[in-house]
Amino acid sequence: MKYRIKFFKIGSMKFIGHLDVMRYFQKAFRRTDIEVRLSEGFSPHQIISFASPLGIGLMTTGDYLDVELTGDLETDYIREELNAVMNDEIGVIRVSKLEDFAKTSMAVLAAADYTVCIKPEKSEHFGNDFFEKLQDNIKGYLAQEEILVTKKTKKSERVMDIKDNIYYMESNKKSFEEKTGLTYTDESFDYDYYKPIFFIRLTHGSVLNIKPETVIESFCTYAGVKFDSLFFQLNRLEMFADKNGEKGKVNTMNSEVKCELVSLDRWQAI
Amino acid sequence: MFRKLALSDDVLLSVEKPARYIGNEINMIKKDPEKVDIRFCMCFPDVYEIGMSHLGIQILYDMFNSRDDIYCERVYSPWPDLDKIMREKSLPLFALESQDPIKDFDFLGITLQYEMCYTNVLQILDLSQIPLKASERDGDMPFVIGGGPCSYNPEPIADFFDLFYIGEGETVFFELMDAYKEWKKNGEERLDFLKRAAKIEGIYVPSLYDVTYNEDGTLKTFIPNTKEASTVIKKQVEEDLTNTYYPTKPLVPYMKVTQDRVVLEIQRGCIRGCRFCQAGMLYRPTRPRDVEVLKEYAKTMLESTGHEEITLSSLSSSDYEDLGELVYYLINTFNKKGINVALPSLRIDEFSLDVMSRVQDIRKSSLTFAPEAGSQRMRNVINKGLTEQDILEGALKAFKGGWNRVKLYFMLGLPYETYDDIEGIAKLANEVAVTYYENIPKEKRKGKVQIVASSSIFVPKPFTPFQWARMNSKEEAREKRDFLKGKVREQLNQKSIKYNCHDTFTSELEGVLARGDRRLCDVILHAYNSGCIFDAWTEYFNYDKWIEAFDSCNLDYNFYIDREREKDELFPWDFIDSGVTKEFLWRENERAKAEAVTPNCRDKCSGCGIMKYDAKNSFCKKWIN
Ligand code: SF4
Repeated sequence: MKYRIKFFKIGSMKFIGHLDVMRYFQKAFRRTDIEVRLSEGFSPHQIISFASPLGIGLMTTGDYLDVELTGDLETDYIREELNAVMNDEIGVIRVSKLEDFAKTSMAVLAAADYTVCIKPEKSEHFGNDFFEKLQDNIKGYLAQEEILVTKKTKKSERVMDIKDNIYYMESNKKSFEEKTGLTYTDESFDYDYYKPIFFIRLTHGSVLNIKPETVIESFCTYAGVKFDSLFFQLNRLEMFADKNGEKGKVNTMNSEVKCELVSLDRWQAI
Repeated sequence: MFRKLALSDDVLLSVEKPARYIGNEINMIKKDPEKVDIRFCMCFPDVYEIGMSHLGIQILYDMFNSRDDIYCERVYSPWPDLDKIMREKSLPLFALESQDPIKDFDFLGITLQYEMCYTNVLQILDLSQIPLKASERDGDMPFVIGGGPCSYNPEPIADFFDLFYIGEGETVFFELMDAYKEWKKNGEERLDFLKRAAKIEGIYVPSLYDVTYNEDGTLKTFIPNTKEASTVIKKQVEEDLTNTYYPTKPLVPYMKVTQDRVVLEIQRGCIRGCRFCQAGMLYRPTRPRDVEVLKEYAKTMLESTGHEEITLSSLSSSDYEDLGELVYYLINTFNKKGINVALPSLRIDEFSLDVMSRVQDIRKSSLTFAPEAGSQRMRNVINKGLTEQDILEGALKAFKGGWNRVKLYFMLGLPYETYDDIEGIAKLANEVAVTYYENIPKEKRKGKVQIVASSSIFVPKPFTPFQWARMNSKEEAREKRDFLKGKVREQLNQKSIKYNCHDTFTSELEGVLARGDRRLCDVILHAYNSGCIFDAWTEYFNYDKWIEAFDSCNLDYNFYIDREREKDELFPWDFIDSGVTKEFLWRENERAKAEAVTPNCRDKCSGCGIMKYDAKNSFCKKWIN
């Protein structure tokens, strides 16, 4: 049976790299009596795949992995068993059963939501002015004709317009939730310590991937403040598939075929 | 509130592998530091990946934390990138669990697994903001205690430690902890605790001894300067290995560490008596663990860690009498669950080939032999009971079973070695190749046979029959290595043989430190102050700085390696009673000269002296009449 697991990774676990998170889940499954299906061959490995690696330094309260189990188990049972053998900084939020035909989350991933916070110890770099004008600046930033950023790959650098790839950008959670129509599973994130400056939804998939840092940097330039990635704490809130998604194509809210985004664990028939 | 870390995000995100410094691994022990009497920080003075792979620390971590009044935490050496930042910002070194500064602990215990970690010990103290010399520590500072194999000659680092624990950790640590609580309750002076500690068997307090030297530099006297310190320190031995502490819930690191698997220590000690091997003498008597208990441990530990591999640890696993039963149990129970059974190097015979073929891909795995020396004469000198016939027959069986890779391990610079013996290494490697080509028909061969011969430089160690021996200089060692390279190239099957050799600089220094005396403390301190750390890592080892340190301390480096010691020379480590007598070691040295083989402890007892320990299940038992 295929299952999709939504998990969080917060606090000091933000320093654990993606490969280590994979190993962490593999070992966690082996600490339970849940049997993961093994691949064939001389050194069989568990059939687990992740939606998208999370960079070191980022937290998440909405990442996904897919796993194939040998048995047909209750989703709550899986969650409880796993949480009993994990630490309090990486844990399972929800488990959902997938149809056999469901594609992997990696294959259907189309967008992601993030919380962007300024680390309290870094707020001195911004000044009151920045916070006062924040809302106006977000409006102004989004109202630009185009939002040009330089996208660097190993081979080349190119300038591209990401205006259509920023689906939502809101300075407070409530209005973000209103726009997206979602309630987020981010109870474990420490909002008392980290004060969000905005929430965003960005294109995130195998064809095009807009990193939140890219948007923050371009926003800082617009707002006339210095950018340093160390100033910000990011939290991935949710990941989405596109109901209208097609292999090799990116739909946005303004494209010919519009994207229709659903959380990864609420959709499998693509 | 998220867990607090000692290092800021900025620091952690600027160093390589921040996961080394955050702790919170699975099975990490959490206690409220306010609610314990003793805070103990256990240190392995090397990088996290190495330190976390060490079984001994896991045993002690588990043992200490089994007591409610003690909280045992861990620390490893910050890698040079973090080291630099911590110095610049004067950040105090901290323990992984609570992230609290180590200078606030009651004890800092440092395990000494190899001599080349000595400057890392100073790095740990320095970054912890603890005075490097024990004599400069005042009342509030933690007591720094050393242990592990190198503490069998603690003299080169004596100045840096308040105490040493000589022997196996399972025995008197709690006695020491209780003495500490007593001392604390009474509000006594620092020295008073040291005196209390000195009264415990196995605890050595270096500052309570005075040392004098002869004109030729050798040790003249080594005497206690207070009545509490005893003239002889007796090695601690866990006499019942089956019923003692074992970490059934070992820590599971996030990052990949060297030993990323469950480790089952099946037996302690070795019956073989190889004359170059320090572990073989130090860990006597040979004590197997009960096989049923080991099976239970295997199951529990795989469940509590989720590791996908399990391996066995001992000095010579083939000598563990229930090996077959244990290994087949592990394979049959766990292999189908996708858990890999990693075998230690075993004597090559039908049994080991059978199990190897079940757990490894034959085409990718290789056979390992450790003849240690090239000629039979030389193998008799070192008492390595492995004959050319054993090797060739073992190899033949393996070749017929489909293997075609062979690893051979040797040592260069062994006592009484001649160039013929060295040439024997090349010849032996060639013979292995000949065995392949002569016996495996062309159509059955899967390519060439691949033989990798490696040699390390022999370093004479305390408490071995070769503790009197002169060590080869790096020039001699290099000459021998080049000679051997040439000889390998002369062999008929040279194309099938690859030869590797270890670095000669580090071996030489290891030799100096291994049999050094107290005067080396200043040298080590000097080397450290001039920037030496991570000497065990070739990319950081700086030979010139070490030579400069010897020069400025006016000490002759060669004194420690370039001389054969007299029979009755007083050695810096002679105050330790390892259980194996000096007479036995000398007798073995004489037998080495005579090329006489001493039987292993299963075949005959040679009266090494260790029998005074009444160890359960030990191999010695059958010789008591
Ligand atoms: S006392 Fe005899 S049997 Fe025991 S370790 Fe020594 S030599 Fe071997």
